Order: sequence, then structure tokens, then C-alpha cells
Amino acid sequence: MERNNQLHRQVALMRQSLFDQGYLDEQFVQLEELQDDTNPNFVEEVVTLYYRDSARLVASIEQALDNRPLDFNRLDSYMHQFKGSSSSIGGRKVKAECSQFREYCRTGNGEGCIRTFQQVKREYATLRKKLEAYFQLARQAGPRDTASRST
Amino acid sequence: MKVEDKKSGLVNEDGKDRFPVGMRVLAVDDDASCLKVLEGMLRKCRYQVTTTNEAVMALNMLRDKRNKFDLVISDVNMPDMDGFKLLELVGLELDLPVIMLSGHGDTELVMKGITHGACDYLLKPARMEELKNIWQHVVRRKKFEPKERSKFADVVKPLDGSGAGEYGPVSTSNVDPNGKPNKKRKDQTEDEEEDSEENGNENDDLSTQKKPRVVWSVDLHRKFVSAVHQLGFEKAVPKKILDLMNVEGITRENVASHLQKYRLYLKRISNGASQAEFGDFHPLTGSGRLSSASYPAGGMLGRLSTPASLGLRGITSSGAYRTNHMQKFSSSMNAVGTTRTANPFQGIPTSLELNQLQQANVKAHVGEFTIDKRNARVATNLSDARAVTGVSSNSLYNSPRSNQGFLQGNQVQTQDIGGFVSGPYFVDKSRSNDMWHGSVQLSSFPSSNPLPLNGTMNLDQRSMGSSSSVNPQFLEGRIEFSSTGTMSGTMNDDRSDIKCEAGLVNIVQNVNFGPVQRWEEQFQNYKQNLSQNNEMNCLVPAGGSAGSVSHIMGQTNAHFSPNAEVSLPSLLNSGAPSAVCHAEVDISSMDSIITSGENNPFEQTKVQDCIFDASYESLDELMNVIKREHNGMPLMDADLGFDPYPLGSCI
Repeated sequence: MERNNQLHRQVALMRQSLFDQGYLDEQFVQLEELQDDTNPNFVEEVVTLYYRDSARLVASIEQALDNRPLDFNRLDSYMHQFKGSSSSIGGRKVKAECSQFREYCRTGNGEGCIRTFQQVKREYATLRKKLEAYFQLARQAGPRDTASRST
Repeated sequence: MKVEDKKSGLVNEDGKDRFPVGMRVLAVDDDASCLKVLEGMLRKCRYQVTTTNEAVMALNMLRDKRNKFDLVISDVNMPDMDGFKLLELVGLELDLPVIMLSGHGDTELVMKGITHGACDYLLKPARMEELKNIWQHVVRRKKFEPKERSKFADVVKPLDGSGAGEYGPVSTSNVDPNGKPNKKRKDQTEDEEEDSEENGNENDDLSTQKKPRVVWSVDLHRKFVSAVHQLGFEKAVPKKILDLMNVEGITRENVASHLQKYRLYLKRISNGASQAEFGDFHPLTGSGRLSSASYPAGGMLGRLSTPASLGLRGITSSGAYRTNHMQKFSSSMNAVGTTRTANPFQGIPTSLELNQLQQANVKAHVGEFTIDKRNARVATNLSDARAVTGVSSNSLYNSPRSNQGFLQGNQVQTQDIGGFVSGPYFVDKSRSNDMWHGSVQLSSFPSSNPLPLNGTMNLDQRSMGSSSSVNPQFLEGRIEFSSTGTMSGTMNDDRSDIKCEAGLVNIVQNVNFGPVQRWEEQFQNYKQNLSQNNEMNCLVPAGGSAGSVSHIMGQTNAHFSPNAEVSLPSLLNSGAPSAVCHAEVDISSMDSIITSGENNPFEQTKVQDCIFDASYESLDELMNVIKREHNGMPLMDADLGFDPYPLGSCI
């Protein structure tokens, strides 16, 4: 009991910090709202799909960045997709880095692209790690009435 | 809404449809997580969702089970097929409302969506609030497009972007650029929709039941219009109209719905003026997502001042033609005039605004405008705005310079009109900005189809005294608008006669002084006429003349056999090619009905609808005035001294 409550509290705290630190935005809340009894793991499922798509995209971008000369259109296109996915799960920081990357693509700044991409990858990795920890904890805490969300 | 078997059994015991609950949506997106989120949200809205991440698969599903879906939401960037292409195909073949979804929100893309016929354009990530209201597109379409699907599809070639040009009430069919005007319009239309709903069981029936679509052919529309005229506009009720028409195969509901569109059209024309900004004209559905920016027309439409003024302006605009801006259109307009008479008006891009109206998918084929021998139909690409794409007429517009001069004056008006100039029809009636909007929306027709703007320019010729029998005809008010059957540019036919006449009326009317001046440069005689016209024009403003014009128009209406009564709204909504004609019935503006070649039948009708609807009243007055004037002095006389000049030259 106590432990359970404590776990739930921890989960809530972790969740809140993700928002506070800017890793997640409002969109994530929308996902959470779609989760219910008929869809108990909705958010996690979506995020899992996100990982899958992103991994593919990141690999493609990396490969494209190895080519010379850089094909900015292609890069932009990939990044657009990646940005779209990220925004659909509420990955705020990742999304911001993607925008930056696209801006460099637009101006044809190869150097900027490469540099920004590293940041994109970093943010993505961070987000992923945090979300995985979050879901794991949530699973541990077990099902419970959803606490009032505080976004 | 009545429960139909189509609706997947979301019917309560009492048989009431729980729409929008259970609305069947097909969601297409190659991104798995986005698709899942979308699905989740749609489910939350209690829609029935089917998803696929392949566009090709989506198409197959839709084709297989044509009636099993109410709405399609599709991503724009997909690997196996471009979202726009899918949009076109769905709109064309299936006439289903399609909503675009994309991470990109730039104006061009949004515009593209509209021109390809999208009902709406959402940005990713999609939000619940937005998805909650997407059902409106389905209702709108149902309400205003009672056409036979297959016929429609066959007849109407894919009017790309027809979505853009939503007809008045439904103006929102196309993605609306964000902009108040659109919202307003949408509100208006929605209000109207609601009103009609309340008013009519008929409306209820229409909207709730899925009846086999009735195609409002030109003949049919002609009968309809004549019936309406016979009864008197105010007294025209569906039952009586139906009786008068004496046509088999249409029900009172069909007539009612058609009447409603007609009324809206007229209203729009008369209200057009108020919508000075094009921006208001949001063909797209209210999603308002589309920034109004997408519509360049914004300014243009706005110009449409009050109907009366519009009328005048319209005329002038027609004469003035539309602003050179309309490049697209004007040229088309001019083009149209090519054939014959140098419709002075021809060139005038009916809507200066048209140019602005990017939306104008108006495919003004202007080039094609065949000016009636007599009528020198000026297929004004009124649709200018729309004509963005289609304005083939540009070619016609040979001398944009000259035209431009003209049009400048008129700009204001033209814009509205711009929309639909389908050759012979001059629908300008009062072109109320609304009309244009509508037309503009229509113009959103699938960009693929350039609607020939047969401008009513032809009329100009007439009025110009191009010697054709126009004059007499004019007087008689027998404006026989040959239904544009010729839609694309070939308006030449006899129909054009009517058109011209109408145009004449308009022209005269339009001759508002503004354009007149320009014309002077071009046509000395015209000046004379203009003065005459001016008088008339004056009259018009007085509203009296409008009447006469309306008569003329009215008459012409009678003659028109609208091919497809493509209610503008429906056009807009359906993005179907038929968006046609939404010719603004700007009397003055030679709103030629822009009929895309393909859709000709539809376009024409539409235009016709539009035309007539528009400022019908004013037309009558106008006509009267003209008639009177005419008695005093021959209007159409050769005084005008317009010899047929190549369209291009005019402009």
C-alpha cells in the first residue's frame, strides 16, 4: 500500500519533471487522455511506434549526411518526417532541434546540419531514456486511478 | 439525419441517426505513430475509424467500398503516393470530403490543398478540438450536393481544388485560409444551413437522406429558373417550382435544395459587396486553418461592394475588367473574346481580383472563350481569382496592358466576379462579393480544370453595339444565355448570344464610369456608349436598373440550362471539378461563367446558377433600365462602335 502509493507518487513526480524540463509538451497530455480502459497502454504503444520510426529515420539521415555533396532536400524531407513524429508524441526538445536542422537545410548550411544533427540525436536519446524509465516505473506502480493531471 | 444502411448501424432504437457519432473515417498516414495518435483521437470522437499507412491501399479500400466511408483524412507527404494526388482522386472519383494533414503549414501547401479539393487542411499534430468538428464537411457536402455521384463523377472531370471554391454556404469546403472573412462566411453559411434545416423538413430530408443525386443539367436549371421567375422570386416554393418544371425524376427535395443554393447564390451576390475582402472568402471549410494568406484574393473579394455597387461595378468591372491583375483571368477573358467581337470587356479580367484570388482554380480557359459571334462572349475569366491555374485565358489576354488599364478601374469588382466567368454567361449579377467568394471558392476547383471564363464579355460586345442582334435581344431582354455548354472556351455558340446580352447588360451597367474611362482609350465609341451606360449605370446604382438587368439575367436564366447545378457550395465542398461556374453573377461583371472545359456541363450550370442568383433582382432592374435607355438610344448599337476586336487587344 504505502509502497504503492509511494511509487505512484514517484511516477507523478517523474512525469511532472518531464514537462517542467521541457522534454514533453501538451501533445503528450492529449495522448494520455486517449488512454483509457479500452486502451490501457495507448501512450506506450504510440511511443513504441515512435521509436521504431525514428530509428529508421535517424539511420537514413546519418547515411545522407555521409554523402557528398549534401542533398538538402532529402535531408529536409527526412527531418520533416522526424519532426512530425516527434511532435505527435509531444517530444518538445527533439522537435526544436529538428526545426533547427531544417533551418540549416534551408540555408544550405552543411556544417550547421551536421552539428545540429548531433544535438537531435542527443535529445532523442535522452527523451527515449526518460520515457522508458517513466513507463517502467508506471508499470511497476501498477494500474491505479489516474491522478489528476497537472500539466 | 436519417439512418441509412450506409451508416454503420449507429442508430438508436428509435431510428435516429447519431451522427456525427459513428461517422466513418478513413485515416491515411505513412508515419505509424502519427497514424496511431490520429486513430486514437478519432476514436475518442466516436467516429468509426479505419486506418492504413499506404495511400494505394487507401484508394483501393475506397474504391471497393465506395459507400462505406464518409470522410478521408490523409497525410500530405507519403512515400507511395503524393497526398495531393490521393486527394484529387478521391475527390474526383468518389466525391468524398478529404481533409489534409501535414506538418507543413505553409501557405502554398495549404493553397495547393485547397485547389486540389481538400475540405480542410490541418496541421500536425492533430488536435482533438479540430478533429471533433470534421464531421461538418460531411454534412455540408450532403446538404448541398444532391447529385448523382456517378454522373457527377463522369461529367465532372476532376476539378482540382474545387474544394477551394466552395459555394457560399459551404464555402468551407475548401480549406479556409485563416481569415475572418472566411469564418464569417462560414458562419453565415452555417447559419443559413441551420436555417434551412429548421425551415425545411425538406432540408432535413436532403441532408439526412442519401438520395440518388440529381444532376442539374443546363436544361433543368433553365426550367428551374424560368419557373422561379414565373412564380416570382419571393413566391417560388419548391412544390410550385416542381410543378411548373414538370420534369420527371426530380423530387421536391431536389428542387428545394437547388432553390436554396440559388438563393444563397443570389444572396451572396448581393452580399458580395460587403465582403470586401477576399480573405473572407474562404472557400475552404471553416477550419480556418488555412491562413487567409493563402488567398491572395483576400483583398479582392473584399472589394465587392454592395450589390448595387457591385452591379455597377460589376459591370464596369466587367468592362473594366477586371483588373489587369487578374492576369490570369483577364487574359482568359480576353481570350474568350477572341472570337468575335472584340468584346471590350473581354479582356477584362473579370476580376482583377481574380488574380489575387489565387484560389481561383479558375481554370479559366479563357483562351477558349469563344466569343459568340454575336455576343462576343467575353468569357471573362471572372473567376480570376481562381483561375490561378486555369486561366488559360491569359493567353487570350493579349494585351494585358490595355486591359489592365481598364480593369484597374474595376478591380474592385472584378474580383468577385472573377470567379466564374464562363464564357457566355455573364452572370455577374450583383456579384456581391459573396458571389465571388463563392466563385472563388469554386475556383478552387481542382486546379486541373481551368474553367474557361467565358466572360460575359461577349455581352460587352453586344452592348458595345457590336451589331449583333444583341441589341434587339437585349432589349427584349431575351438574354439567351446559351448555356455554356461550351464551357471551355467554346462558348461561341449561340449560347453566347445570350451571354452577350447578359453581358451587355452588364456591360452597360458596368460601364461604370471608372472603367469607362479606360475604355475610352480603347474604344471611342465605347465612350459614347459608356455614357449611355453610365446612365444606365447610374440607374443601376439606383438599384432600379438593376432590375432590368436582372430581367435580362432572369431571362437568360431561363434559357440557361444549367448543366450541373453545381451549387457553388457543393462545388466548393466537393472540390469536384464541377466547381464550375460559379460565375458570379455580376451583372456588370461579365462574370463569365468559367466553366472548365471538362466540367462544362457542370460549370455552366453553376455559373448559371450563380449568375442568376446573383443579383437577380438587380438584373431585373437593370434590364428595365436598360430597356428604357435603349428605347431612348440604342445601346447596343454600333455606337458603341466596338468592332469585334480580338480579345486580346481589348484587354
